Amino acid sequence: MMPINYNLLILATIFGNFWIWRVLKENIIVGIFLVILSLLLFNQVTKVQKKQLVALVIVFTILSIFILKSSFDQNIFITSAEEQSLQNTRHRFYAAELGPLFTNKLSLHFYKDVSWSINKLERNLFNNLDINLYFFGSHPRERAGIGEFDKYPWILLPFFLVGLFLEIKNRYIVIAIYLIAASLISMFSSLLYPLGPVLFFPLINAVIAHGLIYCFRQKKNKMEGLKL
Amino acid sequence: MSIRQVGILGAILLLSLLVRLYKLDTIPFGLNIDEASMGYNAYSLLQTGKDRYGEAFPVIFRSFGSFQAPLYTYFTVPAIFLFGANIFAVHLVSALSGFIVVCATFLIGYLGLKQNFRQTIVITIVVAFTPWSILFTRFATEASLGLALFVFSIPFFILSLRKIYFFIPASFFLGLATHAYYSERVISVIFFIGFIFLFLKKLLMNKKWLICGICVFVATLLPHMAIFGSGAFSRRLEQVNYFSEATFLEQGGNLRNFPFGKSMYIAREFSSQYLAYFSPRNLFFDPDPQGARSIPDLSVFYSWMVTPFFIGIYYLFKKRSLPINKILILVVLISPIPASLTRDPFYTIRTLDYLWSISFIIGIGIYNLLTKIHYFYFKVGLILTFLFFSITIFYVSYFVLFKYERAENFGYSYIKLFEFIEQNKNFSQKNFVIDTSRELGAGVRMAFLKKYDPLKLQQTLKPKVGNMYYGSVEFVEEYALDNIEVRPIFWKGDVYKEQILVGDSLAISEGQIKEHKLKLEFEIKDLTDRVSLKGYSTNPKEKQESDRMKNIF
Repeated sequence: MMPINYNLLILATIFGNFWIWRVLKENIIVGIFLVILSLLLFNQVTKVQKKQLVALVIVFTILSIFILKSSFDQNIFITSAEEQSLQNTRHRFYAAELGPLFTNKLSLHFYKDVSWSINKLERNLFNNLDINLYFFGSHPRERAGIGEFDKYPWILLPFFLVGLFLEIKNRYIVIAIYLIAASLISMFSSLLYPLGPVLFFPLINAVIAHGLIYCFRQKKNKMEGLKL
Repeated sequence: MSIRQVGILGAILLLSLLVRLYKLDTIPFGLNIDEASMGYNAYSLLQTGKDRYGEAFPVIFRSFGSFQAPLYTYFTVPAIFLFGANIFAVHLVSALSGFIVVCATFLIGYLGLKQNFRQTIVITIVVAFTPWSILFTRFATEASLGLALFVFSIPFFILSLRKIYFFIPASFFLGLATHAYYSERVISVIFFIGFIFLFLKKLLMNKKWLICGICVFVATLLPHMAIFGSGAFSRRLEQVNYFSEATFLEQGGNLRNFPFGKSMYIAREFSSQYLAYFSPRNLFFDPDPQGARSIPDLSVFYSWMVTPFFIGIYYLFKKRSLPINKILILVVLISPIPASLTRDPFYTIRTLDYLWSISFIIGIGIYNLLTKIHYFYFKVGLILTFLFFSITIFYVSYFVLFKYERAENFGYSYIKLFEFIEQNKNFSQKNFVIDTSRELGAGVRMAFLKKYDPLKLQQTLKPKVGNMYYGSVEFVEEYALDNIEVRPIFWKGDVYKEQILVGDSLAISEGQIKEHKLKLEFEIKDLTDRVSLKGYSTNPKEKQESDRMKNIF
């Protein structure tokens, strides 16, 4: 059996999806950054290399700044007219049921100025953590007002799941830190950003490639076992 | 267990029971269509030994165009006998089912986790107080009873690995669960086969008991055979699946042009539906899209539980050789299957077994997280902070928002209408037509609240069903309850009789009010203070006169 070229595999993963082509078409600089970030992250999965890790942090920081500048979610701190109406309606319910527990200054401040913003940040966070967003264009729960698009062919899903299982099992720290960092930064990015939550792109590539490698290895071991 | 441990366990169990019984008759205020149907059928069985269609002790209960698994209705009979035909009695079986789930969870943890009391208590607390667990055990649903029977069988399965004769009650309760809810029909069978497969070596050591257990399980499934070919057995799945050619043509997209396109469409649809049940967005943030089955602004778990969820998964796989963890992995993997075969996205009520197993995993995660914290006061502070946060969020979302914003899903306005008619002497003797265009369950709900004589109702409904009780026959279910008719309004005839027409603003428009000379008599407001129903008296004389004038000109 032919030896597996892992670099080819990660390149195939990076370019074998709909998402990267959409990004390259819309913004070639972001696309190039994502390709570099994917390669750097993939190389860090099993063995941490200091120089590459520094490069990874730098590229990630630059990309994060760019994304936050171009797609910062202003709505987090602004209450729309529709939200205001709902807020007022619910104000009545809370006041009727909770009395002074709600109508005191502190609770009212928390309700009007804090809780809605926290809710929106949570919404952004969990929307980005939705696996269906990446493999099925959010199907079966498409989001209203957001242009959903397929990012990865769903046939890659099993490899992603295998990869994810391996990351959890082996506790790959770089992947975990990257996931946390990407989640936190993407929380502030608008869901309407036409390129989608691009900071997750390198992570998903690395996980899929990892899953693919594992499956190929298993297959290779089986074949060699048969030869023996 | 020490006395202290028994005390802690007792307090948690008591609290879990109180949370489920507190204001059970008023939150949710009312009965949805399924609850009303089960409630009236139970009342009818108690009075006459037959359901509202006149069928004696059915294997599965007909309800409008669909069918309901039978156990919940049968279990509601003693509740109605004890507490009367009211909302509390209908909700009670669900509340007690939730309590059984909590008790069984403790047993499962204690038996499966080598009597690790602390870990078991953490898991029990999570199962007892997560949003889904309280929500679905505070209104009547067959799913909560199905979950209770399914979970109740697991301690016996664990015990059967030590003493094989426990395999018999385990098989019995698991088989019984298939009569409690549709999802359990699939989950129980796969679980039973999966369990035998996982522990085959151990079970084969005593073949006689194994075969006895299989026989008991098969015997419990036999009643399904009675209706297997009738249409009633698979009616629900037919209504909600995505396997039909019409669905493929409508939603297949580009796959319509591919060879094997339909198979690919089904595979894609199943994968997306199945995966949706594992999505952190659905589990920890977005509520179920069905308003009637979700708490406003609160998903099935608290958002902070996402971290212990991932930690729990890690420990689950790390210690996957433990029998309890093997069982949990099996439940996690198989329990979203029935719901994934339907086209409704993230339909939580069909996956209570799955949500239970996820709660268990979150409990494992929380316990392991806490064991890593060695500073006592920090640990206590953390626990208190999250407890305070969770209780506040739940109270505000459920006991305030759910109460107000979901009241209409449980027919609040129709109940208020019924009370208004009963209490108001000016109206109680008049004839009413209550429109059901947007509230199919209004009739059976009113029959239940009115404690309408089941014999009379059977006389109306039985001829329509005929001998096709288990068949796919569909008809408009009209209710004539003494002076109250509950059915769609027929404008060609109803305006020529002296009576009161009741409906929402879509049922009776401004144009119709003018055209048919209707006069506003009363308004019913919903809990949010909006007018939801209006009652108009007809004026046949004036209407006829107006018709006559129209014909002249």
